[in-house]
Amino acid sequence: MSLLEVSDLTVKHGGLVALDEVSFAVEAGSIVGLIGPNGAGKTTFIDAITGFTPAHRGRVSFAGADITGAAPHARSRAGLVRTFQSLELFDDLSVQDNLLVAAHTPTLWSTLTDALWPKSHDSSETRRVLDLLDLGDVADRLPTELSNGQRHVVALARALVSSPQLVLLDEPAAGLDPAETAALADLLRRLPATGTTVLVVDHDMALIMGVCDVVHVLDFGRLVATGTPAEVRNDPTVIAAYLGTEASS
Amino acid sequence: MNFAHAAMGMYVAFAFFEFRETGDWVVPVIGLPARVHLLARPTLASALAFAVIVAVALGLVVYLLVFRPLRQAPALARVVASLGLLLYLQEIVRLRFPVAGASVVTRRPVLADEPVALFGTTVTENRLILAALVVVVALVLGAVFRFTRFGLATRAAAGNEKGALLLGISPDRLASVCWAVASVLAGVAVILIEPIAGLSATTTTLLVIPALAAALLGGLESFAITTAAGLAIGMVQSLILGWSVRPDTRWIPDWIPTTGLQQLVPVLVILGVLLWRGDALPDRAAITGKRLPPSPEPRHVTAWTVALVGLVAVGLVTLDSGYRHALIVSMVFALLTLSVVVLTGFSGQISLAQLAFAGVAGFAAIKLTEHHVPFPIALVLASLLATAIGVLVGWPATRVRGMSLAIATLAMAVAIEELVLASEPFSGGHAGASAPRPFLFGIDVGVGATGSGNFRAAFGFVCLGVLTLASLAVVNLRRNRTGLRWLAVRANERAAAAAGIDVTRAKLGAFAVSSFLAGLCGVLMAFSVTTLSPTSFLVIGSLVAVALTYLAGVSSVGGALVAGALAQAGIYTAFMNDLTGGDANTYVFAISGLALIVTAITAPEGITGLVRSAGARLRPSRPAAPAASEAATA
Repeated sequence: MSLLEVSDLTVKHGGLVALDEVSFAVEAGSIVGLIGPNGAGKTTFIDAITGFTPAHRGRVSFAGADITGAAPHARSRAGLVRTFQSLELFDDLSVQDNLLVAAHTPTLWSTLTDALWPKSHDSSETRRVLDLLDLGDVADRLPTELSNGQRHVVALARALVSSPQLVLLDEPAAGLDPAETAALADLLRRLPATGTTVLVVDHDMALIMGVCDVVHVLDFGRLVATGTPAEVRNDPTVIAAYLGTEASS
Repeated sequence: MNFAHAAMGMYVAFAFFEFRETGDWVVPVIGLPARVHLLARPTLASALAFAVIVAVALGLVVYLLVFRPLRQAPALARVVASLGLLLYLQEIVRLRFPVAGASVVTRRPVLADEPVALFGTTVTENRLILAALVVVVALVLGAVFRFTRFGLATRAAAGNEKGALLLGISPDRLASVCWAVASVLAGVAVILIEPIAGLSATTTTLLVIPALAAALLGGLESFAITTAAGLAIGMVQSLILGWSVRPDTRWIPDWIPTTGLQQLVPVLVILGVLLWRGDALPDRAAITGKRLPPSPEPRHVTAWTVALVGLVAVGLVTLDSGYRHALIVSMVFALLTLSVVVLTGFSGQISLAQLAFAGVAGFAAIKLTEHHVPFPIALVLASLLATAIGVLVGWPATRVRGMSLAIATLAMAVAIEELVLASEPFSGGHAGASAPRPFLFGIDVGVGATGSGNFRAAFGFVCLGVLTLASLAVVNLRRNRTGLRWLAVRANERAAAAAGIDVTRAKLGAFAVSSFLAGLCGVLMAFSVTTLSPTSFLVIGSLVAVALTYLAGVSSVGGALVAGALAQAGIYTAFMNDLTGGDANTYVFAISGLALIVTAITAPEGITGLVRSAGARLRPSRPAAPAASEAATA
C-alpha cells in the first residue's frame, strides 16, 4: 500500500477543469517530483490533496485512511503537511514561534494550563528543527527581517517541525540562488531517512532531476507522463507540453 | 462599507429640521461656534436645498478626511474609523441640537400624511409616496450605473482599481461622487421617514443594520434586489410588530418583549446571507492587505503587576469616595477592554456585542444571587453563561471576517439587547434590577450602603483581584501556545490551517475567553450600582469599548488597562474633571470619536504602541534589530 493514493481527482474552478481525473501514488520513503508548464494545475493539485480546494470527484487516501473530505488542519495533523509558493509565514511571530505553533496539537487542558502558567511549553522539538536547518541564529528574529533565502528555509522548517510523514513543497526553490538551491537539494535528499516522504513541485529542472526518484508531469490538468527523471526528460509528450507540438510551433 | 452611514443621514436630518425652524446651520465641528444663522425665513424648498448641500459636503469631507486615507488599511482600521465617526456624529447631535434630548418633538413633515384607502385597508399617503420614491431612485441609480460612462467607470474601479487607473479613470473622483450621492440619499431618507421611524441620536444610527441587511441581500451591487429586499424587510418588520401587539396572539411567550421580535428580521437576513456566501478559509486570491499592529510578548510582568496592584491598593485606601468610584469604574471597564484585546488584538476578529455578553452575565448574576447562590460562584456561573452566548454569537466568525463579521455581531448585539436584556422577567425591564449584597468568605464586599456617595474599598479590592487574575491569565495565554495560535490565525488563516491549527476552534476559543471576560465585567457592573438597568448595555457601549481599546493599543494587555483608565467616569475623566471643573464628561465621547479616527489613520498601534516605540528610541541602540530580539528573549 502506498503512503498517498490519489484516484480520479477532478477539480473545477467555475467552468474550468483545473485537474482532470488525475491518479497517482506516492511510495513511502521516496522523493517525488511534480512538474508542468505554468497553469498546468500543480498548485491546485497540492491544494486539493491538502484540503484547501474541494475536489469535485475522486478519492485521496493517506496512510491507509480515506481523507477526501477532511479539513486542512486534520490532514496536517495526520502527517500530510504542505508549504506555500508565497511562503505565507506568520509575519507577526518570531521564527521560533512560527515553528512552535505548528509543533503541537492543543487540547482543552493545554489551553487551561496556558492560562495558569507563565510558560508551559517545551521547545525541544523546535530546537531540533532549528538546528537541523541551521536557523538557530535567527530563531528570535521576525520573518520580515530575514533574506528571501532564509524565509524559504523557515517555511520548510515550519512544515517539518511536526515530523510529517509526507511533505508537499510548492516551489521551494523559487527565488533561491544556486548555492541555496544546492543546500535545499542536500536537505531534501536527507529527509526520507528521517521518516518524511517528499513531493516537490518546482520549475528548477536541475533540482527536480537531481533529487527525485519519480517525476510526474501535469499539462492542462491531466497527468501526461510518469517515470524516472531520465525517462521523463526524453519523453516526447513532455517536450511537447513544454515547447509546444511541431504543428503549432 | 461605513457603519456611520445612518449616523450621517441622522445629522443631515437634524440639520434640516433645525434649519427649517430657525434658519440656522448647526456646525458639526467641535471648537467652532455651535451655529451660524443663514436665513431669516426658511422655506421647505430652501431647507431641502440646504440639506442636500450639507449632505454633499459631509459626504465629501468624510471621504477625503477619513476613508480615503484608509483605502489600503486593514478592515478593522476602517471599522474603527467609522465607529469613531458614528460616535462623533451622535455626540454632536446630542450636544448641539436642543431638541435631541426632549422626549416629544413635533417636526413639520415633508410629505403629506393623509390616510388613503388601499386594498380594503388604510395607508397614509406618505408611506405610498416613500415607497414609490424609493423605487424611482433605485431605477435612476440603476440606469446611471448601467448606461452612463460614469457608471461603467465606477464599476470598473470597484472591480480593479489599478486597472481603472491605467485606463485613465480617477478612482478618487468617482469615489467622491459616490460618497456625496450616498450621503444625500441617507440624509433624504432619514428626513422622509422621520414621521414613521422618528429621529433620535441612538435609534436612527442603528437603522444602518436593516439597511446593511438589504444591501447584503443585493450582494452590494444590485440596486433592484437591494430595493426589493429593503422594502420587504421593512414590511415584514411592520407585520411582525402589528401582529405581536394584537391581543389575540397568545402563542408568543410573555417574556419576549414585543418590540424585540421585529429586530430579528434583519439579524436573520444578515446571518443567512453571510453564512451562505462565507467560506471557512479565505481563498488563494484573497488579498490580506495591511496587518493589525504587532502584538509584543509581555515583558517585566511581575514588576508591572506588583507596581500596578500596589498603586491601586494604596489608591483604594487613601483616595476619597469620588476617586474610589472612578477607580472601580475603570477596573470594571478594563475587563471589557481586556475581552476586546483577546478577541481583536490576539485573534484578529471583531465583535460589537461584547457589552451585550456583559449584560446577560450581569442580570444572570443578580438572578443567581437572589436564589442564594454565593457571590463568587454566581460570578463564575454568570460569566460562563456569557461564554456560551459568546461562542454562539462568534459562530458566524468561522465563515466571515472583517467588516462582515462586525456587521453580524452588531446585528446580534441588537437582537440580544431587544430580546433578552429588555425582557421584563429577566432584567426587570425599564425599572432594572438590584443585586443583593455580595459576600466573599463571609465578608461584606458590597459597594456601598447609602447610595452613590459611599463607594467602599472592599468592593474595589474584589474588582482589583478579579482584574489582576484576568490580566495575568491573558498575559499567560499570550505567552503560551494558545496565544501564538491566535496570532497565527490572525496573521494568516490558510497558513495556520496548513500548520495543523483548527482555525474554527481557535476562533471560537478566542470568543469563549473573550466573552467570559466580558461576563466578569457585567457581573461586577451589576454589583457596583444600586440598580442595574438594561440601558447600561446599549450597543453604543460596545462600540465605545472597541474604540477605546483600539485607541489605547488593541494588541496588548497594557492597552486594555489604559483603555480602562480612559473609560467614561473612570479615573482619567475624574482627573480631568478635577482639572477643568466638571466639563470633561461632556466631550468625552465626541473627543474619543475624533481620537479614534486619527488613531486609525495615523497610529495603528495606539497609545501604548507610541509609548513603546518612544521608549525604544530613548534606549541606546543595539546591533541587529534590537526591538524584535528583545521582545522574544525577555
